[in-house]
Amino acid sequence: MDWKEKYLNPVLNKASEFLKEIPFKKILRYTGIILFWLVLVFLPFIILVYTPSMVNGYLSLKYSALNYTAPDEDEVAKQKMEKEADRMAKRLEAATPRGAYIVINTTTNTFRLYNKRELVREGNCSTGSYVKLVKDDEREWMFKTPKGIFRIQGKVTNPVWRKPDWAFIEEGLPVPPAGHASRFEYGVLGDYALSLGDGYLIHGTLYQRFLGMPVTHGCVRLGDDDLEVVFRTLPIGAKVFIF
Amino acid sequence: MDSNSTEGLTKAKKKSLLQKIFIGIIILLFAFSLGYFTISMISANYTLQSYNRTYGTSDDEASPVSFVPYHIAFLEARHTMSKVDSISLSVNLNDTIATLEMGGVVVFEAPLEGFRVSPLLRALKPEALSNLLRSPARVVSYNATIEKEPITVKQAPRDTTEAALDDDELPVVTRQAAFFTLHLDSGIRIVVMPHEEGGFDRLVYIARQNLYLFKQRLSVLFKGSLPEYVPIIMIEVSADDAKTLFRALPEHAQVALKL
Repeated sequence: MDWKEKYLNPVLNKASEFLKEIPFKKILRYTGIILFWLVLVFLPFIILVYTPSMVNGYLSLKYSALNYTAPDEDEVAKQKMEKEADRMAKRLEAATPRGAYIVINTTTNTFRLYNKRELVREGNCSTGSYVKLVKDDEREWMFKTPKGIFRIQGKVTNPVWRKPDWAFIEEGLPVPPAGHASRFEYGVLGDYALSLGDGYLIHGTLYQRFLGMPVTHGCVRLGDDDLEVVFRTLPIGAKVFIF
Repeated sequence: MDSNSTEGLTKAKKKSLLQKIFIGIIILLFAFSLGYFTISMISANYTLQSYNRTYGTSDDEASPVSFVPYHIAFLEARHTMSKVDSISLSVNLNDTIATLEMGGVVVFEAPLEGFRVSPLLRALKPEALSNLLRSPARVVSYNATIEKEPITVKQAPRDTTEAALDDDELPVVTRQAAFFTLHLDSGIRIVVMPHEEGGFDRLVYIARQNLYLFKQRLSVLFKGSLPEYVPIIMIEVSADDAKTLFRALPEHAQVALKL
């Protein structure tokens, strides 16, 4: 007996017997049934999920088929329109101050100082903390920097902070009467302050490490060097854009 | 008949009933999804026609509205916005930039990392599109993953000891991704995505938006009316810019678009 008859043939015989026993037809049938049900069950969901894409695809096809072109305007009307557009563009350009102005971003706590329409300095600042201080559910203060267009209303060197009621309440101290000596604090606002109206200021800070964070009671705090440049660049009446 | 065969019959009946219910549900689902698909197609067409009617020229109209080139339409919208001091948004897809403007002054620029425009807007008649864009749209509502104002309520301390506890606390700045959608009165929706926030957060936001739209459409359908197709402009900006844009804009901000 050679090795083929001894080893290979029995294996082949067994394999062919095994294959004969496998119910291929049954397997095919059941696979078919399973696939059919899967498709049946998931197709509605697929249609629902892909409907927006199919609608968009349809619109895109429609757009290419429509092949719109802008209508021709007569030359006179076109020239008139372009002139008006030029005028509008100039008016928009004129809205940007020619002199110095500052833009303050309360989200990122950064500022950009412009002069003659050029950026002259940018850096970190601190703006309102969005803390709502509540005292015995009777009085409350919201510490946020107002957004909008303001103007510099006044400039002071070595400003003195006239502490409002909340400054005492926040420190757990009794509120003194108006004009009391404890209301006046020296050196906490830095070397300069620029007034924006309604008690809001651009000033310096002792807490330089908080620059770039929302920590103030509504004023805008700047670092010492930045404050000096801002103070010297912005004249009274200069615009302050806060957003 | 013995009890075994009765039991077998009942089981067979139950099985066939369950099969019928299952098939019934699937047929209903099929019918519903096909109906939904058809209605979505019809509503897209209907919205397209309605935009063309509202902003464009109808064929039988005696005095057609003249076409204003898109760049002039955008200028006109920005010019109208410049008359108010509040913060407004300009989205210029041509120059891939979104800007915040106050009284006509550009105070913030956010370069677009990417954008997608609903094909419906591209399929509009040029006159209709230019008329749609020549006056600024107003935000009627919005939804976002962050608050407009991150307010923290703090009770005033009772004495100096309690106040001293808060003194050295560093403010907590949470880094939350700002995904937001502005719903404009012109029917357009502007979806703003932070470019860096890919993957799961984005998927969840998109899924939520789609689910919201689907629910809205269903409720309109059940009321017996045709659901409206909502044209969407999706823009991608950096995460910081997305937050700035959202926080800076007032609730009913004006928006100018250049497609």
